[in-house]
Amino acid sequence: MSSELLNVEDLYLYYRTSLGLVKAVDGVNFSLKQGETLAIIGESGCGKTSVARALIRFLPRNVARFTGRILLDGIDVMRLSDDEFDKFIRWKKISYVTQAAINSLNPVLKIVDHLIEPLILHMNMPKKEAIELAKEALKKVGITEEFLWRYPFELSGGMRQRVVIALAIISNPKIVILDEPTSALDVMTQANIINLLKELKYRMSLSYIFITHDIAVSSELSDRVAVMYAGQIVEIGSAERMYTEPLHPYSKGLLNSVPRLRSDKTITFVPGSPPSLVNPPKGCRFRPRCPYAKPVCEKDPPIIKIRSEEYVRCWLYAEK
Amino acid sequence: MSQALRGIIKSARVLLRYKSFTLGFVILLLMLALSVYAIVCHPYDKTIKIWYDYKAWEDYPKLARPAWIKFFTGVNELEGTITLSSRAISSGFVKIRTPIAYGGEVRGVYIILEAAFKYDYDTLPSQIVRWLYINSSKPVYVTITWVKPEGTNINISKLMLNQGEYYADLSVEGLSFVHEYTQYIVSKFGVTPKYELNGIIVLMGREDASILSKSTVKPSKGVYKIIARAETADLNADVDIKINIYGTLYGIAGTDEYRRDLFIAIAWGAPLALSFGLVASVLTTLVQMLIAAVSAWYGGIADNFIQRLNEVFMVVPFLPIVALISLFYRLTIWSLLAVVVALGIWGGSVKTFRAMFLQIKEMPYVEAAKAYGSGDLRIVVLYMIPRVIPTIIPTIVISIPSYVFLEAALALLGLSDPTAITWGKVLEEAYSGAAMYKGYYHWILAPSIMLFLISIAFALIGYTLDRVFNPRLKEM
Amino acid sequence: MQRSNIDRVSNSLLIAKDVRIWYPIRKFLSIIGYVRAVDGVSFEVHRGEIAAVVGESGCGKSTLAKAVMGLTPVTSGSIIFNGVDITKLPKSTLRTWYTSQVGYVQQDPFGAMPPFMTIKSILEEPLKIHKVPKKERQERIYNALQEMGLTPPEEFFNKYPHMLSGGQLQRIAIARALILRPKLIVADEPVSMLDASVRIEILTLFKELKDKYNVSVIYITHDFATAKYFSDRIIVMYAGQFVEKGPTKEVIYNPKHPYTEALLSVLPDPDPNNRSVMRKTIPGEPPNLINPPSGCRFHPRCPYVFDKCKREEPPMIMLKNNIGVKCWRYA
Repeated sequence: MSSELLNVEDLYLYYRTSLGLVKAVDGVNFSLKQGETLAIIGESGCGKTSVARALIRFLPRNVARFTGRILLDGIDVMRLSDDEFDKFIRWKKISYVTQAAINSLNPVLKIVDHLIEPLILHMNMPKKEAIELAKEALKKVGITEEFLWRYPFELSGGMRQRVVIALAIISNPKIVILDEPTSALDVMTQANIINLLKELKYRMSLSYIFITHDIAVSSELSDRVAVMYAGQIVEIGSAERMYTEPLHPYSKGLLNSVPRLRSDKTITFVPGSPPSLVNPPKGCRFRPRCPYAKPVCEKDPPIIKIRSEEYVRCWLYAEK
Repeated sequence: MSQALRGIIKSARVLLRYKSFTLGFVILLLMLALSVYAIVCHPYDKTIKIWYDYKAWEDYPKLARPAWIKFFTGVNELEGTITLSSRAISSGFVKIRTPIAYGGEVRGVYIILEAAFKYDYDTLPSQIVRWLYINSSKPVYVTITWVKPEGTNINISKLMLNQGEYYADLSVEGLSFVHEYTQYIVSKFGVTPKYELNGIIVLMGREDASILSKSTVKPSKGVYKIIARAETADLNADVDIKINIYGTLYGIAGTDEYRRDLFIAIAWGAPLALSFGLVASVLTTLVQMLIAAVSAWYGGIADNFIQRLNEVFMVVPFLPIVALISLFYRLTIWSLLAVVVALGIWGGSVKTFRAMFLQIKEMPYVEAAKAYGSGDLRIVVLYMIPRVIPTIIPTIVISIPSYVFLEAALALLGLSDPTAITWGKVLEEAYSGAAMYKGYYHWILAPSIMLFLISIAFALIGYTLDRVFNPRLKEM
Repeated sequence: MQRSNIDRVSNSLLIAKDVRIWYPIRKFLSIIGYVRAVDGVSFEVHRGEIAAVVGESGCGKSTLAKAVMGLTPVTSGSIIFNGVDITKLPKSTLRTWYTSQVGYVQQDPFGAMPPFMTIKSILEEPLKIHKVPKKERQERIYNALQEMGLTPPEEFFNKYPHMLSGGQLQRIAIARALILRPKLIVADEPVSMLDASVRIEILTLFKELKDKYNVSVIYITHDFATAKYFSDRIIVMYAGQFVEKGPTKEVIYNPKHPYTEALLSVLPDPDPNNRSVMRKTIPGEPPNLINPPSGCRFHPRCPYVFDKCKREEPPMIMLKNNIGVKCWRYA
């Protein structure tokens, strides 16, 4: 029986920079059920990593605006102070695997120290108990116990990625945010890690928010897909629909630009590049690159609901 | 070219936004103004000659403090010197020649020299000196009388002189007229003064109870007269006199023990410090960079050799070697520069630059340059060096003061160019003249403050340049 | 520079024969082993064709690319370009002649450009070095920018690399590689650092230019999907050796070598059904190049391994249709 685990409403995250106000997350709405994986795909600079940062509250000092409602397991975590968030939410209910996380392991600490640190610091767990949990976590990701006592450089890239995943699941969170978890790995290792993530998803009933620009890889895990463009979600829908018949012109363009191994479909690409987040175009932000642009697109497109939890932001579907 | 200019203007605008830079820049402008003044108004060759010609400073007070102190003390002191001379026209002494007639024959000549001056100051002068210039084939009998405003006549000299120039410092204690005058005071006030009077107090002290104690003695204000009478049998004889009443203040920086206007030294110290520091810093850094570039680029044996050579030189102690060299060779300021650069290029900086170059060598665009056929020299000069320039410019600027200080320190130790008019030299002379102990603080403070200002200026400019060229944590 | 008569007539622009690149491992003054980055590789690149070298990181493909460029010396073997064995050329000839015959496009668009030079200067460098007269330089740079779709060209002249996006910079890199009208371009993972959506755009452009100037391309990548889209022939590399080569469609739809097979089976296409399928992976990792496994280097991981594989290294067996497989199953 799955219920809504995460509900994000009207999320805004702006940064203040020397170039102006960067509207990284500009009014984002989505939800996530227990055991479900949501993929957030888009080009670099579209704001997907900022969404992750907003959810886990790893914010830089120059935040200009951070508003919205984030209902996690019934609690609006936006109302919690930084301390409370740190104590109760981060790493307990929701954890985060950053981009190129395998390089973020401290080279002078043993694997065991990496794994027990959050438990001792955040949960006040005695060391012995923490080590037991660390052993279990490594087992879950398929690494033998002896590697607890090794240093990161003694492990291969694939194993380090597994350690990072172990770190993310060790305190039994409900949601794991994965930000490009496989981009630094070679093909075979990538497949193994994806297999691992699939296994963990079924065994631990984990929900993933999978952030990537590699659309093919995202299809390995996602139940639902959100396409982000210039700080907004332009379309969100079920995997079945999104990977076969997306509605938004950008989603279509993205999908058509993926070279396929198993079919000879013609590949096309979306010309131009994404707008800057400092001064996005007025109205529909995709308009300058859209092959279907109409005069009405100069106004902000409405959010058209297709089905429950599925919508598209485009004038083409406004008549419905 | 215009692109470089545009770049400089843009950088200048960015830099001026920093208060630290503006302050440093203002001080630097001040130094430059001083340099221009020095070079234009006191050309070096001429100035050097005067500087070591003690006679040229004859009419300047000794160890006078800067004149602008009077605004702070409120005391009216004599600035400069009252020079009374019979040699220059309208310069104090009026000469009258009267033949001495005796028994119907002219037997000799009387020369009477008279001068008067007004003294309104609140403090006594620092020195009173008299010169007599006798031009005669026969002996000349000279008497000099000093008349104070109160009317007291003091017989300063009674001399029989031949041809020549005669100098007497009338300021000291123990002179005969001092002794006589002291007796006079005792008889006038019935009290013996509690200290030993000196010439200045005798000649110019106010004749009231204040003269009895050294702490209360004041100058007598009013008109003074000096009358010198000379008589000689040589009819063609000529006698000239010069009396200098030296004040206690002078000019912008005061004077030193040799009566020289310290402002000239302060002004000349600026261009010397600037050029020494700049040239030393730029040359040293450039050579270091070149050594590092060659070492990093060619690698292998050349690299090994250069690094080991560098390490050998690093062990060599800098100061003792410079001392040795200056013992054997007379160092001019430019040969000192050469020595400083030759010894200064070795050290940690070569290693740091080498590390930077090694990193840059691995950059993809260096590989790309090799791929389209660039030669080694081109890569080093056009692709690698421009990468380190933003780092070395602040380094050069920040190290300028250390070279300035180095020269000053060497001058203080007597190891620098003994003829160059640098701030270090002034300090060295002040030190030899025991300025600290004797209380002539202006002599020490002037060059010290200049050294301080120049380092602050370059430090401020350099650190701002560093912040602008090499931003550390940028906002995200 | 002696040219072989046969090669002048044939279609081969570049022939590599048994190239080995071994790096010695030194302990103090003695050599205790070698890293066999490239270990006996032979291939041909024909005029006007795009040959893709596909392999995972560490298989030696980048080292091979640099050897073809003349940036790395080979330990043994020959690389014959237009009849000239460049491995035997003196360094000066390599620099003055060969560098104008081959162009290089690197993986990192930002790293490949000197950050303190304007776009115009960057494109002018190869021309200056090869003494192209000044007037012609201006023209070539202008045309290059226009061809790359960076218009109006004047606007890009005075820009600096940090002002442009990765995609734009990679176009400049391609323009720079083409500006001397080389006969061959070696592109080492030219689109891996770019956004997935930009990759196709750049590769399409690259293809157009290749057709226009009749230049051959060696395309190094780890991505089969773009290789399928962009190349005429694919060569699969593993542990410093070629394990399979053939026309693109053949290799992709009909892989012969177990390694190729395994790689292709784990690469996903966007398909919602992927999430319910566990990918069948092969165990282990690519071997270390200092002490590769005996016999066939793939044998520790091969699902079809038999005795001979462990003892003897298989040769490159040529099948019909110009397909080669380095596997005992096809002997």
